[in-house]
Amino acid sequence: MTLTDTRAAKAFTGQAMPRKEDDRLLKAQGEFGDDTPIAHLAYVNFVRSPYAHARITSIDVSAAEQVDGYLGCLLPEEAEALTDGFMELQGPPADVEVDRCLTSLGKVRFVGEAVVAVAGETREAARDAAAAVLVEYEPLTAVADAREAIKHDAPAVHDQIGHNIAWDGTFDYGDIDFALDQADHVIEADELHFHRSSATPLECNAITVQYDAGVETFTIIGGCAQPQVTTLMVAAALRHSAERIRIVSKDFGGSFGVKIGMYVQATALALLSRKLGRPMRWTETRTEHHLTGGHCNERWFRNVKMAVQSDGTVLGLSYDALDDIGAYTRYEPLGAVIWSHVTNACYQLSHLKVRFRTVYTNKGPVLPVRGYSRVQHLWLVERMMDIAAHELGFDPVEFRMHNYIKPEQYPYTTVNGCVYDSGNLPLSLSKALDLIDYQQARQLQAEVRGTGKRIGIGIGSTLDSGTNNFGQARIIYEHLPFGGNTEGGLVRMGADGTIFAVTGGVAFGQGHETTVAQVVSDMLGVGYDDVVVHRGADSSLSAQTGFSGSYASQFAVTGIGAIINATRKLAREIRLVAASVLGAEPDDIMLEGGFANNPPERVLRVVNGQDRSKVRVTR
Amino acid sequence: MTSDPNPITVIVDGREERGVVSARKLLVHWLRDTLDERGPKIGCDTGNCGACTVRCDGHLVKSCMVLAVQADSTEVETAAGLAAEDGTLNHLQSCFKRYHALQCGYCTSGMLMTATDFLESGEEVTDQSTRRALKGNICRCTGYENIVRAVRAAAGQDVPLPHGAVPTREGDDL
Repeated sequence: MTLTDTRAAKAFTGQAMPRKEDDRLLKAQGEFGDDTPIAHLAYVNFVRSPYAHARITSIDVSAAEQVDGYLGCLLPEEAEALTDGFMELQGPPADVEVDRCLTSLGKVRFVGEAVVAVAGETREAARDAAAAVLVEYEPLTAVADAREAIKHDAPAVHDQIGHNIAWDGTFDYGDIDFALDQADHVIEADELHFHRSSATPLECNAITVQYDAGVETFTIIGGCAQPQVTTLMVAAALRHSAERIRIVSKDFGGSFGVKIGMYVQATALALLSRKLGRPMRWTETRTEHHLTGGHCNERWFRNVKMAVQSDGTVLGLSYDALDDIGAYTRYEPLGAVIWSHVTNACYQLSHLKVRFRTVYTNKGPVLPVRGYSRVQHLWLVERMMDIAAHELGFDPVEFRMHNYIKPEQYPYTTVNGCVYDSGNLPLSLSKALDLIDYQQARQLQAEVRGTGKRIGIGIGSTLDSGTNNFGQARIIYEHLPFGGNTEGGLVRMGADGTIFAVTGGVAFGQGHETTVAQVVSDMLGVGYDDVVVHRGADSSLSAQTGFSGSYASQFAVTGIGAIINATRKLAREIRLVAASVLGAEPDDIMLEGGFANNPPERVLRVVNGQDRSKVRVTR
Repeated sequence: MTSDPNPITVIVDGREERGVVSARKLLVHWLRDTLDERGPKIGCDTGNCGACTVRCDGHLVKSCMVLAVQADSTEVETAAGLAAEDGTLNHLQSCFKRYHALQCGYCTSGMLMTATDFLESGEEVTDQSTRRALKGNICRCTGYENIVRAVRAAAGQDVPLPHGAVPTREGDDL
């Protein structure tokens, strides 16, 4: 396959345009989650567990009721009565996990887990009332290490499951046993640890829920990275029609994946807003975010073996993975399979075997943080490349260059049948090395050796899958009611000729409004300023599909793809109308400069633009 | 509504605002919740992130670290007051736009206030001094490089344009 460059010069696409988002953000006229003014707003504060694992023996809210401004609260027993557990992705036996907006089944399972949601007239009243709630706990032995959690005598995070394995499976591609047996060298590492981290968007979660009793509709306002899935999660939990749940996200101070998890708190706010008849807002504190906001998957790699030939050719790799996902699966155990988008990392491996176990511990739940699950595997492969190069006496650059997938090998089929469509890994690394002047860096490193000063040089190479394929989720559980991927785009022409576009996703700094306007204006031959792109997402307005959202690098592939297809449909309609008016064939209509032209003479104005004096005669 | 009503009068971006607040009300909450002032943002509640930065009587403060009652009889400047009345961006804001110094925009108001104060301080503007001035403001999108460049450009220094940007002719509006 040869790749052809289709990047013909365009008026706006590929040009450095002033961003459509910038002016409002620079003038503090954006609308982030906590900005939206709401009449009669009440505030929510959560009573959180100070224990990693404990049985709740009593909850007493009587002191909270005495706090000036206290409005009411939501207790675990109410949440249990009024909601169903959130959908679980894993199959039996761990599918009996119960996850709700507040802790359930009488236990807390991690520090920071929400036990009671308290509403107050003001932020201060909600905080005081929450502080006055008395919860008695009977501490249980906690397990905070996945290596301990898999042992038979480990305390079970979820009693009804009886053990801490949420998923266990083996990915076996090629013949790793043969490769390890035949290889000139086997490089081994007993244990490597990819630690926990937090994504830490600068804007924490800020969620407001309004219940309109007249039309039995919940409106959820605030940053939501995956609107349609969130709608379905909240709807099922509340036993409420998904069509009576509206999600509105405007400006958005970062997500990095973790704002996929906001359905949990949104469900608690929904219950409170319906119960107390007032809109409810929860503005997460940074401390809460660090405790519960969704961590990055922590992974132990054990018994790692890499088969390498004397000439430096890597044949294959095997390891056992323990993925510490904390107390609830939520988006997990998708991480058990998402890494396999990039099984080969950057290399021509032929054999790969991974036993993967998703493990509960008494820690905060993980969420699909940027680079989700792939980054852990890619890191492991890079570490092993370095360890192998070091042990066998190869320069880490030469060792990588030797094993990289070569430009002429694309499309390259990985060990598990995925296809890398294109790339040039050796050139990418060469460019990076040139930028840091690698030879000089090595020279400097050698010069300071023995002086007490040390210079470290690390090489890391990576690639990533763009957009998503939930088809792989069926590897996790074959009966999952979803697979594949979808995205929606809506592009329409208003009565005054202005073009309006909206994606199914949201943006938190990516500049989607700008990109969409560049693409749409080029396709329709109108001006950049003639295209109005809706900010964020509104499920009652956006063309949202089941997997709409901004996660897994969706926008550059599926998001803009949907917009392009929608724009083609609009372009077709403009051509049909113009052809009818001008008495021409639709295929002969050119869209350019804001006009539908039938060369050489006949033109029809498409957009009004600013300057009406330029309106040309039609026909 | 509050058991300890404290009347306050604050000039906010040139407008006189009167309010009654409890003694514990944070300035950032009063500005945001009562006045719908969206310049100061809440990012950490602990004075670490700088998203809530405003100027109070000419002093740069993190408004989550100041009580509303402390701001009584002061003049508060927020990022919402930087642009001209007709909405035209000021020079610093234009530089932020030109040098792609913002992405999600959540830290931007605080960055602008800190940079405004820095540029007015008379301190020599270098890469190092700019970075030191901005150390109390966290950005999670940009990696800071373009923010530093924008601030230096606002001081009239020659800094590289973002990738792909076309140089303007001399005298062009930014």
